[in-house]
Amino acid sequence: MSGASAHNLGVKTIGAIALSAIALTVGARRHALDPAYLRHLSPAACFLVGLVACLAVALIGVGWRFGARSRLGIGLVRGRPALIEDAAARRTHDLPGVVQRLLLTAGFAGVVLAALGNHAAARIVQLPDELGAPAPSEYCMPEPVEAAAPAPAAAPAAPVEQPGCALVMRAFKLGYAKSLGSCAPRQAAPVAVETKKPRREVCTRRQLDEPYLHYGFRRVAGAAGTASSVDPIAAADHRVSDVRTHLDFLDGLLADIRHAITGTPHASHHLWVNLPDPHPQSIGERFTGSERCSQRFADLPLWPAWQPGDDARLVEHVLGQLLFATRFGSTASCSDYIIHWDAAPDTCRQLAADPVATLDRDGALAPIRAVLDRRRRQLEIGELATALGRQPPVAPPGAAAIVSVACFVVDAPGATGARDATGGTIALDGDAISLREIHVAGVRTGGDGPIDVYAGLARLLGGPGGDLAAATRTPEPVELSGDDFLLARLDPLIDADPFRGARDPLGHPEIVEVYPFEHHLHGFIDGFRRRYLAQRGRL
Amino acid sequence: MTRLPIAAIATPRRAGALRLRRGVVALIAFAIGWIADDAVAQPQRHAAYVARALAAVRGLGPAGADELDRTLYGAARSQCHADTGTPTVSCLIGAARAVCGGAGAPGGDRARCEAAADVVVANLRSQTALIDDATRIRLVRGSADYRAALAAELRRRYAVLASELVLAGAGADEAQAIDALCAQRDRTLHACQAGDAACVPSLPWSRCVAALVWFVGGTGGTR
Repeated sequence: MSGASAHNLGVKTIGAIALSAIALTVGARRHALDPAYLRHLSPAACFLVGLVACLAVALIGVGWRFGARSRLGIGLVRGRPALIEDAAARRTHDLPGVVQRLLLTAGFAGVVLAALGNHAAARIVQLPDELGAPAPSEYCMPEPVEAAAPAPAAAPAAPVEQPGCALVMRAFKLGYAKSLGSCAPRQAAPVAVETKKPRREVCTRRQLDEPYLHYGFRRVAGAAGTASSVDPIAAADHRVSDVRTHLDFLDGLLADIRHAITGTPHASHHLWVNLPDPHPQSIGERFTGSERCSQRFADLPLWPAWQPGDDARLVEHVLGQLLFATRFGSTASCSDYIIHWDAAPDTCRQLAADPVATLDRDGALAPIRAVLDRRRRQLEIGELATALGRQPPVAPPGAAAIVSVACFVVDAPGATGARDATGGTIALDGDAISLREIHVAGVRTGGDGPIDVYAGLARLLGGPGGDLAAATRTPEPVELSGDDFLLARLDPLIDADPFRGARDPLGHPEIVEVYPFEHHLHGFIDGFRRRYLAQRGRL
Repeated sequence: MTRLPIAAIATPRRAGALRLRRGVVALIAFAIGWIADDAVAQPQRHAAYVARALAAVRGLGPAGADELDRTLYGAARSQCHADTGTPTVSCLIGAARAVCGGAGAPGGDRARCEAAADVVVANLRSQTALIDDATRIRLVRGSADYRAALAAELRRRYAVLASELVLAGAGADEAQAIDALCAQRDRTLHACQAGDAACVPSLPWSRCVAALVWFVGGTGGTR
C-alpha cells in the first residue's frame, strides 16, 4: 500500500467516531438530547447515566486499549478507501486515547439517557428499600385500615304517593279542603342495609416485630405437634395404600403424561374431498413446512370472486368460513381438522368396509388412535381419583364427539346427481366413530354456486338445520332494474337471504359488489356453529 | 451524412446496456399500468349514482333537505304505516314520487328531488338498524318532539360514519370515496357493544351510502 496518502486514519479513531455518532443519533432520535429533556433530569438520573456510561467505556477499554495506537488504518489509495497494515509505521493519524474515551463516553451517555429517565432512576434508587420491605408471603401484614367514611347524611325520604289521593291533594292545595285526612303524605321508611365484614383468617406467618429465633422455634414446635397428633402406623398404612393404588393405574398416569408432553391432538376430525389439493406442497415447503392452517384461515375474505377451476379452493374457503373464521363467533380448533384431498369418490364406502386399513392408508389412523387413547387415559385417571376417594375430574367427551370422518364427494358430470348427507358409525378399537358422506352434483364457482357449497358442507358436518325461514316474514322483492331510486331498490337485499332461496341477485355482478354478504353469512354460519359445535368436543 | 441506425453503431456492450435500459423502462411502464389498472378495476359502478345523489342533496340546501325529510317522514307514517313497522320500499318510492311530482316539490327539479328522496327513503328504512330499541324508547320518553330527537340521534351516528370516511382518506372525489368505503366497510367486522354510541354496526351498502350522502351533502363536505 505504498500509494497511501498522508491522510490515513487509525481504525480505533474511525471506530470511536462511528460508534459515538451512531449512539448519539439513537439518543437524539429518542429525544434524549432535547434541551427540555436534559433540563428536567434529576440529579440521581444524571449520576446514574454518567455511572453507566463510564462503566461501559471502562469495560470496553480493556479490549480497546486506549493508550495503544491502531495497528490498522484506512486511507485513500488512488481515490478509493483501502486498508493499511502496519499503521504505526505509515504515519497514520489517531486521536489521543483520552479523546477516544470521551467520544465513546458521550455516545454511551446518549443511549443511556434514552433508557434511563427520571422515573427509571427513581425506581432504581428505591430498589434497595423495596427489596428490604417485608413481603406479604413471609410476614403477617397489618389489616388495612378502612378510611373512615363520613356517615352519610340522612336524606329526606321521598313522600309516598298514595293511589286515589290526587284529587284530594289538588283540592287541599287550592284551598277547597282543610285537611288531607288519610291522604296526608307519609314518609317512606329508609331500608337498613346490613354490611357484613369479611372474616379474616388467622395468620401463622412471621409477625413484623417477631424475632427470627422466636419464629423459627414456633415453626419447629408446630411441626412437632402435627407429627405427634397423627398415628404413625395409620399414616404409613394410608400412604402405602395410596402408592399401591397409583401403581395400579401407573400405565394410565404415564400415558397421560406422555400425551401431554408429545402434544397429542385434543380431537381428530378428517374430511375426504375428491378434488385436487389447492395448495400442493412446493419444494421449499418440503424443507420449511407448509403454512399453518391457523394462518391460512386467519383473515379470509368474505365473498371472493372465484374463477372456473377454483373448485377446491372454494371448498377449502367455505370450510374455513364455517369452522375457523373468527368474525362469526366461537370457532372450532383448526389443528384438530385434516382435509384429505385427491380422495377416491368411494372412500367412505372403503371406510365402512375396512376402517383400519383405509385410515392407515391415508395417514389418519395414528392421530385418531392417539386421540382415542388420550381419552381412555383420562377416563382411567377419573377412576384413580374415585379409588383414592377424591373428586374425579370432569369426564372427557364421548369418542364420537372428538373423532369423526366425513366424505365430500363431487360427482362427475352425468352421475346420478346430488344426494343428501348420509350418516353412520364405524368401530375402531371398540369406540364408535361418526361417518358422514354427501354427494354434490359439481361445484359451481360463479353466481350462487358458493351457496350450494356452504349448504352442502353445513349439512355434511352439522346435519340438517332447523328451518328458520318459517319464523321470518316473507322478504320484500328486490327490483333490480331501473335508473332511479337505486338505494331504495337495493335496500331489501338485507332481507333477501340467499341461504333461504333468494338467489336471483347473485346472478348480477353489479349487485354482488354491494350485496350484504356479512349479514346473511353471519346468520347462516352462526346457526351452523350452534348446531355443529354442540355435537363436538375436545379433550 | 447518413445516420446509421443505433443498433448498427452500438458496440456489443452498449447494445447490452440499451437492452437493459429498455427492459427497465418496459418494466416500469408495466408496473404503472398494472397499478393504474388495479385502481381502475375497483368497484366504481355505483359511484356515478352516488355523485348524483350527493349533488341533489347539496342542491336542496339545508332548508330544502329538511323540508323533504319532514314531508317523506309524514308520508311514510300516514301512507306506509311506518309507525307500526319498517315501511315497504314500493310504498316509500310511490310516496316519494308523489311528493316530487306535485307542485311545489322541494328543490323544484323533479329529477333532483327524486335523487334526494331516494336518500331519505333509504335512511327511513335504516333507522331501526342504526338506533337500537333502548335508545328509541329513551327518545320517546324524554323528548317532546320525537322526530327531532330521532334526527339528532341519527345525525350523531352519521357523524361517526363520516369520520370513518375521513379516516379512510376521502380524496377529491367524495362520491367515489363514499361508494368505495360502503362497498368495503361491510366486509370487515363491525360488532358493536350495546349502548356504544361511537360505533356504527355493519351496514348494507345502500344504507351506508344514504347516511353518508345525507351527512356530507348537508354539512358541506368532508373537509
